[in-house]
Amino acid sequence: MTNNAASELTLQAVPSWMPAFLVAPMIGGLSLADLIALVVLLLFVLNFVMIEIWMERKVAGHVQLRRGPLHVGPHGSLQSPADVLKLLTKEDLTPVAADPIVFPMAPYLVFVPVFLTFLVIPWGPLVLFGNFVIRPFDLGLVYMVAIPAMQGIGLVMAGWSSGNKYSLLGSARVVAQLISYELPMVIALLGVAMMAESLNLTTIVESQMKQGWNVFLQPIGFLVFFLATMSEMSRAPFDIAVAESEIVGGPFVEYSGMRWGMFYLAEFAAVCLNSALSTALFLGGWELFPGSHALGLGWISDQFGLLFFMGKMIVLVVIIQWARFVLPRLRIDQLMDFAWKFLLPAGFVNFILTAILQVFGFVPFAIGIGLTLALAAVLLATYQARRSPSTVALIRTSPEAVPTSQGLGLPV
Amino acid sequence: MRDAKGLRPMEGVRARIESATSGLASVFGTAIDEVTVTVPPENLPEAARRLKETDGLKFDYLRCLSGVDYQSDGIEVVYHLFSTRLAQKCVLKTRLAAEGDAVGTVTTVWAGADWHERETAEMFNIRFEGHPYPEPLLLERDDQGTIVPGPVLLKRFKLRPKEPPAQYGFPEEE
Amino acid sequence: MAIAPSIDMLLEPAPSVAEERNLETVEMTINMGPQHPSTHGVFRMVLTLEGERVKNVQSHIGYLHRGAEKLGESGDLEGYRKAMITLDRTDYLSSLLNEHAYVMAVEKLAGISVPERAEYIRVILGEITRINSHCMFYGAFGADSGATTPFMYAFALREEIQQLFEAVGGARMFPNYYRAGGLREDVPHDFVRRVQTIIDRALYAFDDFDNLITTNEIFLSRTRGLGIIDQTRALDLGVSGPLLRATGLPYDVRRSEPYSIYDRFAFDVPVGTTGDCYERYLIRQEEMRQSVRIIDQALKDLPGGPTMGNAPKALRPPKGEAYVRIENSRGDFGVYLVSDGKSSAPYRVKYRSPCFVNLQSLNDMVIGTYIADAVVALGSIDIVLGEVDR
Repeated sequence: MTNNAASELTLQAVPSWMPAFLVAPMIGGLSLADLIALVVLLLFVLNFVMIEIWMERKVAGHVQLRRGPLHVGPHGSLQSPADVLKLLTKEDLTPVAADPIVFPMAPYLVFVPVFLTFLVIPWGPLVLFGNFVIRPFDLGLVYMVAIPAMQGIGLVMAGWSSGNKYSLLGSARVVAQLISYELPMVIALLGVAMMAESLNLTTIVESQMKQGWNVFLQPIGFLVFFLATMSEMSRAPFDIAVAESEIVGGPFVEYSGMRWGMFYLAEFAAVCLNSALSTALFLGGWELFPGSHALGLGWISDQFGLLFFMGKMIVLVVIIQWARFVLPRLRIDQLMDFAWKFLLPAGFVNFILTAILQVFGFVPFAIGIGLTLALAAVLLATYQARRSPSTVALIRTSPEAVPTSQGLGLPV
Repeated sequence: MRDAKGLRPMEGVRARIESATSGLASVFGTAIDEVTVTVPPENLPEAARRLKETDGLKFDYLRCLSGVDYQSDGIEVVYHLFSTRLAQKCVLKTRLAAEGDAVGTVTTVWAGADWHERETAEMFNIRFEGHPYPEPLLLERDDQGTIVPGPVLLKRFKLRPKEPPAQYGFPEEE
Repeated sequence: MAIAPSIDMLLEPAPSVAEERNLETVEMTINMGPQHPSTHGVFRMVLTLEGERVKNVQSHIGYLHRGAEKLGESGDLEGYRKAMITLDRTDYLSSLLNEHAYVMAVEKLAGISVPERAEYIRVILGEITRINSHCMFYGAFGADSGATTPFMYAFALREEIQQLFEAVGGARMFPNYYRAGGLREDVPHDFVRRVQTIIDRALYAFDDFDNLITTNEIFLSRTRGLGIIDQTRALDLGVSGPLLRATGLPYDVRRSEPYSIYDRFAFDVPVGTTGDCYERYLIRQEEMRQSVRIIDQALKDLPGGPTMGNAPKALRPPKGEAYVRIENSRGDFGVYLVSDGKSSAPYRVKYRSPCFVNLQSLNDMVIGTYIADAVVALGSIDIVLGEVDR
């Protein structure tokens, strides 16, 4: 394994046309190309978050029978910059009861870990530039799990230092939630690591091009990972910590202006991050469609892979946003139940099945999948029986039926 | 056995109440289509209990508890009752002599009288003895402990009239 | 609260786990203050929490007390009509139903008869108001459980209904349309067509509502088994409406003591079994469909004729009292009217609002549950603070 010290390779495959002064290591081992790449990444994240906020409001609008922002700019596209401008010009209030040191520090501790994790994402190649990955760590998976865990500290600091009982409640909920959902996330990633026999994210993507996408080889793992990361980001339906209708914002309730904007930014950046990670780990990264390499169409993804990666990432982002507006919120104990009693066992099942595939080959794996599906069908059947809504008895006064849109002869 | 509105006829109700509340100095009347029973304040909790528990009556649902200020004739507390099992209704009344008087609570009979009594007490400046938590409900107490703005629904409590402004239009610039 | 929570509060559980698993927790008093997104108005709940469980609840009401009853007595000329204006603004979601009760009380006292057409129109508008109010409940209840979309769906339907109110009564929310003896004026010429459009649209909307959250797994686990009141306790408290029907007692004023012309219509009264929040929700959804059924029948039989009975110009009912109760969208709404025969305003008008009485059951429902459940249980009572405080 190559030792990726900062003084050696910067980009994965340094394009031959780059002049030497760009790639020579300068300050602290970082080269000029490195610095430019970091700046580009930061700008990309910030801009993508603005686009994402607009997308979320449009998705919300269309789900809710309306159309979202329309007036500020064509189709409301300038609404996000307007909102950011508003947040920047707002007064930064610090409550009297808040801790003067911890209170301002908390937003940064929430945003910076998210941004740091962007360093390992393999974005894919784009014509002359080669593969975009800022730091192709050999322990990429470990890095990707460990660094965002620091968000938890930031949220607890925010809730604690606000001097408000609602924030305290919110931060207590958040800690329990984040800790509970780390485990299913890691268990799901074990399957991915086993399939690719490496912890390097780029190697994982490349192995998916040979073996097939992980979403087909371990669908349970994908589901577990997707749901666990949705909960890590405190997105609905797992947003009990920031439940607007009960504790009105949870840990964030005392923040105003750009400090609150940093939390918001961190949440949307995390959505982008987790979609990108799901794409890289499960959806084949920058491959066009599953099996395109085997069919000899690999050259398309070698040239334009970045665009396909972005496309898949945006699809996942839309799905995450869609889930927010359609589902009610889970209560804190239901949330913990879901993590410990459903996701974790599902992650273990996935792990065992993947191990069977690796060790024994495909046929035992197929048998395993069959058994799992049978078990799932049995559980679902008993579950359906338990959860059917109680019938509300009607006192009948006439034999006329209850009208529905079909019953009154209206066109269906 | 039911009239056009689905309830038991008034005469039967009146007869049953008469037999149940004998000895409580009850006076009977009618209010268009309801039987009214007026008892003196000291007999009220007993009358309420009998109306709820006697077999032919079973008034288990307290619909409404209100007060009416009849100025020199006193303050009347009116209980509208209904029986869900026997489909009959009646009105129980008691007349207090003046504001400041007390009558026994009926929260032991119907738990739902709780908030009704708190509101009537603060609005008419009367007391319900034995109430578990006799604090004002809709109005509040000021720093000295008196209820502000006072017993609103008494007739002597005048709403502040609106004075017309001294000068219409904009004041002139000095 | 001016002091920051001290660190001792979080370290409180005594380190005596080795001996007995008797963990002690600290009680926290939280104020879900008058301004809060989910207290449905200016309602204050002081919760004493132990961790996430509610140990005690103290409700404080009166923030919206505007003296509707006192103002009702103090009209000068035409006081009987003016009392209705403040009545509209008490339960602002079912104003036409409440107006119906008041107007029936005046008619009962004064012995005024109402023509057929007015009765039919009152029933139609009342049932539309019931749909309006239950849509609002649907939106708010969904928001309490965390889904933001039901609100938008409900308001899309309410918008059409409120445009109908504007056409009929002159205002979207407080139409002030009924008078003793009938209606203020006849309905617009396209009334039947508009109502038909609304109920056609409403049936599709109700199916949409159901598809969204009624069988949603998360919604079921949030609302099922929550907020159960016993039937005897409910009767004792005087609870009415969907809360009482959810416990199993089929008490609907339109059915048990039919008023106006409700005995001519065939409709069902949905009744539950256990009394939890989910059944109350289902009952209200079903009531909306039954309202559509009533409106359908009323529209078919809508007669022509005058819309005002023999009410005198200067209304002074003879001395007496009247108590009229109707089925509001929240329960049993009563108007107690006392007249002294001389003045042109009521001597005493008392509004028995169902929310005022239903809210007394909050303690029963909430103690022992989680704080998130307290919010959902409060939402299922469907309170309107204007009616609670009058």
